[in-house]
Amino acid sequence: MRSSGRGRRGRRGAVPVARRIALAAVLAAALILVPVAGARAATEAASSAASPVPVASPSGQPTSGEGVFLQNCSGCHGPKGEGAFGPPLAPAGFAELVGPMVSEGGIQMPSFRDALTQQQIDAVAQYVAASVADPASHAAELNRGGDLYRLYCAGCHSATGRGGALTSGLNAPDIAQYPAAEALAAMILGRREMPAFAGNTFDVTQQTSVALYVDRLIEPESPGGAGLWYLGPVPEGLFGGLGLVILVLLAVWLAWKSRKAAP
Amino acid sequence: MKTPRSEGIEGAAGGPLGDRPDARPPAGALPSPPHRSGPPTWPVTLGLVVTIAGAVGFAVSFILGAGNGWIGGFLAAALLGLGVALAWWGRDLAGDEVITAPYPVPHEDPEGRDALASALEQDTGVLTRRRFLFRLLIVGGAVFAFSQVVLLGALGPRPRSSLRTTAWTPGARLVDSEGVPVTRDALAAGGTLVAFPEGHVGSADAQVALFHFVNGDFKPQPGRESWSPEDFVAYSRVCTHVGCVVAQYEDEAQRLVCPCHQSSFDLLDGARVVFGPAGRPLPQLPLAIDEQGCLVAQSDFTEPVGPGFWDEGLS
Amino acid sequence: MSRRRLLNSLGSAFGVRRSPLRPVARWTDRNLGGGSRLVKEELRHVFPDSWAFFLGEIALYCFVILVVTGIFLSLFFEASQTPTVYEGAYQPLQGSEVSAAYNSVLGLSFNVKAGLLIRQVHHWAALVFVAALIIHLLRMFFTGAYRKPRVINWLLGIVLLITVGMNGLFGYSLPDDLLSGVGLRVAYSITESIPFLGPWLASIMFGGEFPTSGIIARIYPAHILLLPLGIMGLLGLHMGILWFQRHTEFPGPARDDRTMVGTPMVPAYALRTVGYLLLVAGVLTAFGAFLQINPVWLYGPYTPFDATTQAQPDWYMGWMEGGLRLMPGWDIRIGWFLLPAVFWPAVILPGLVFTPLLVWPFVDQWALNDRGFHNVLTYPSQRPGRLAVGAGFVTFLTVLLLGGADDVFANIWNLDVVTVVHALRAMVFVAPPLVAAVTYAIARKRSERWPV
Repeated sequence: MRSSGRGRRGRRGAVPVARRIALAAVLAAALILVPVAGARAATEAASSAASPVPVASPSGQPTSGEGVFLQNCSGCHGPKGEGAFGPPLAPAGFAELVGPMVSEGGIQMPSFRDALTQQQIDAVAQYVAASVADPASHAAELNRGGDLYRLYCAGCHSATGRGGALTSGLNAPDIAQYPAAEALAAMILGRREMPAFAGNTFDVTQQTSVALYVDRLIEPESPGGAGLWYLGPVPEGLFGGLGLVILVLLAVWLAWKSRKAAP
Repeated sequence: MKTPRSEGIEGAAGGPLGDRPDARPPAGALPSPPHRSGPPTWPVTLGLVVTIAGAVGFAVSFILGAGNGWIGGFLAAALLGLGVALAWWGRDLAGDEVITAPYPVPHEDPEGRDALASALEQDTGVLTRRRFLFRLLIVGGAVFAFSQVVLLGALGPRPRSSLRTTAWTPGARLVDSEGVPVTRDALAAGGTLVAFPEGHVGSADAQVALFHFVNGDFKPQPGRESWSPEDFVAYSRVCTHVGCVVAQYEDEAQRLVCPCHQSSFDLLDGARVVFGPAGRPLPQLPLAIDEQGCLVAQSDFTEPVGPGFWDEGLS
Repeated sequence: MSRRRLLNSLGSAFGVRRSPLRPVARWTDRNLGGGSRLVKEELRHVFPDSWAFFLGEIALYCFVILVVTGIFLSLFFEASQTPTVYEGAYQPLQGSEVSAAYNSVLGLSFNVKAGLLIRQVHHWAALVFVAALIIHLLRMFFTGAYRKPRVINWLLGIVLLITVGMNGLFGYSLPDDLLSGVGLRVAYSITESIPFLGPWLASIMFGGEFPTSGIIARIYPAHILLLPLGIMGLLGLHMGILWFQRHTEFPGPARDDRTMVGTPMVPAYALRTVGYLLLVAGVLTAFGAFLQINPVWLYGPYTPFDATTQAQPDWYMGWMEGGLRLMPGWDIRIGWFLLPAVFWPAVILPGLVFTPLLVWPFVDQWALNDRGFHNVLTYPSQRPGRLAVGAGFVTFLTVLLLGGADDVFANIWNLDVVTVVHALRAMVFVAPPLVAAVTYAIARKRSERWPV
């Protein structure tokens, strides 16, 4: 019992093991708490909206939405947004469609990021959406836009909006290159192989619905991780091959020591 | 071939399966711990620590409802950690024991084969000796087995005329995807619309692509001059290749292209195939305009819609 | 209990003194009645060592992961096409009509905790599974592992490959999304193109004229029960034969057709292979965690009047897709009888691919006039003819695979897809013999260094 060598050896053997367990537990706790804290911080950051910083307006620019519109927009779009050189603004019934278009510009529309403050851009966007656009545009629905997009647009621009091949030598472009309102312009004017959908295929409500959906495709919802360019099964297959390569390399590692083994 | 043998095999009591070396520790006791100068053990420790951290992280992030990357990342770390630990253990710490063993020598065994065949013939002789009954048994079994094939008929109806007809009837109005009837004013020249028979919105084989061509561009096919009133033309949207929806409309080239395999149909020339794997042009729907100015179909398509099948030439 | 026994059991609680295996072995032996000697022998089952012998394990462990993740998914998936209005968490679809199956997959992706992770791991595992099967097949082919006595195992392997591919097709069609629904339409039309029986067969498979409201409900038991049972049965046979015949080995010291050299299963090999299972699981989980796959909410629900471009099937169907795209529309019309052009790439081409694979062991026996039993492998360059034929075959399938992605290449590299198609049509005939000839020449040079 007390004199058994086994017992003494057992006690001596038990101490280093206990120390190792304690060390591992401390490391594990640290390795857990740090990423968990990070995860919580990340979720908090995502949920808090960034508050706009008010900036003094540059001299010479009005501060009201209507004023900004008359000074900057009516030259191309007409004083009531009926269209002149630029397309009519009838389907522009949502500020979230107008704002990015004003600040970033489109294919033919210039960017107003330097000429206007963010406050002015927001103001003109509100004004156009509320007062200049056709009221029918306000009845637009996101899911209706999705249904129409898949019926008329996805065939050329793909369901994820990344564009697609046509047989005329062109490729339908990626719709994320410009703000969603550029889709409204394309629908109204038509572009090369793209027919003019506005007034023919789509009424104003439908145009706006489609533009709302296009807006959501610019940065598609990707809870699953990296979007792999949203090109579908082709890049997925490529990465599947990459996964296989990784596993084969792991097999090479695993068999490395015994590769030249002799009995 | 003379093969060098390791000490382990030499010292063993021998058996064809290569017993362990003689120097065994006493029964029931553990092997002694490895020497300090052996392969490093830190990868195993690291792997197991990562496993513990990953497993706890996975559980915590799952409970907190964190995103896919967090839950999956921790779980992946746990799996990889444990995998590395066990793999390293097996690769480096479990010893380099390499032994020889015999292959089961494959051989053909004509005598054994013949003996088996004779035994089987003898045992089945009870049946085969009565020739008529045995043949009747075979016939009965075969007829029974083949008769079960009819069960397949429960899985689906015979196609009959369903592949040759669609929901279009004479006088059926064209409506758009939201059920609104299509009038002559709804589609300006140069426009396109997806249309269905009234009451059958969403019908797979009746769907048509409606076009309103600019005057003079469109040339009707011989015998179909009355099918395109005021240059309104409707073609089936079901590709004649393998049935995808021909959704790409090329406005300048005036072509309808299928996004699946790039079959291209010339809209101004009866939707004949100009490129791609399709073999037949898109069927055209005969149109008319009624008194209210709505577009209607004169009748159903005059040929089957969609991909070809062996007897579509028969009506 | 005596004091000695008490202290012994306390001691064993803190520092394992006696292995618990003995009482377990005793209990099992008493209640089963024998088998211990067999187990003891098989514990020392020898496995030769090479990284190339792990390829089958990649496939096996992918299958295990597919079954485990699949069980989880099956608890949430609803195999019904009943229309329902989507009111879930993904805003752009709220209010749209979707099928119950699609709805349940979106629920898995957005509402079920870890649902998206398991879904993605499942799909990544399927892609890697088929890739591993193919590379395992290639290893068998290029090292001559299909020779007697392993011909039957080779045949089982080809059947497994076909079954797994079909199960993958069924699996990714279950969510009833736009991309996979178009694939089902193509499958229906391909079946229709078979002479005489085609339209009826298609109707039997789908339950009527496309689209039918029961196809998802029909694919579901095939995907989760019928085909997995088939795979498990074939796999059991495949591995049983492997177990009893022992694994082949590369040439080396002390190795010949009668003697194998390797690692006994217990302890080293078992540890390595279990470790490898976890590594495979870990890599696939990492993929499922960080790389999005099959985002069905972006594709939208399947309707028979919607379409999308970049509509490829999963990669392992890509060679058939390429055949469909590259084959010109040469319908054959004899009177009223029509043989649609798709019959050739969709029905004949798979036969042209799998038949040579199935008969290859016999072709090899005939060509080399070698009908003997072999347990030792040959290195690829030791058989230049086999290497060249295999390289040409792989090139043929690779060109078709590229053909299946032609519109993606045209889109991302701003090419004219018509030109791409013409170029690939030429490459289908030019590239395989060219690669075969070059491979043969290189292998001949190398084989002069190796003993035959």
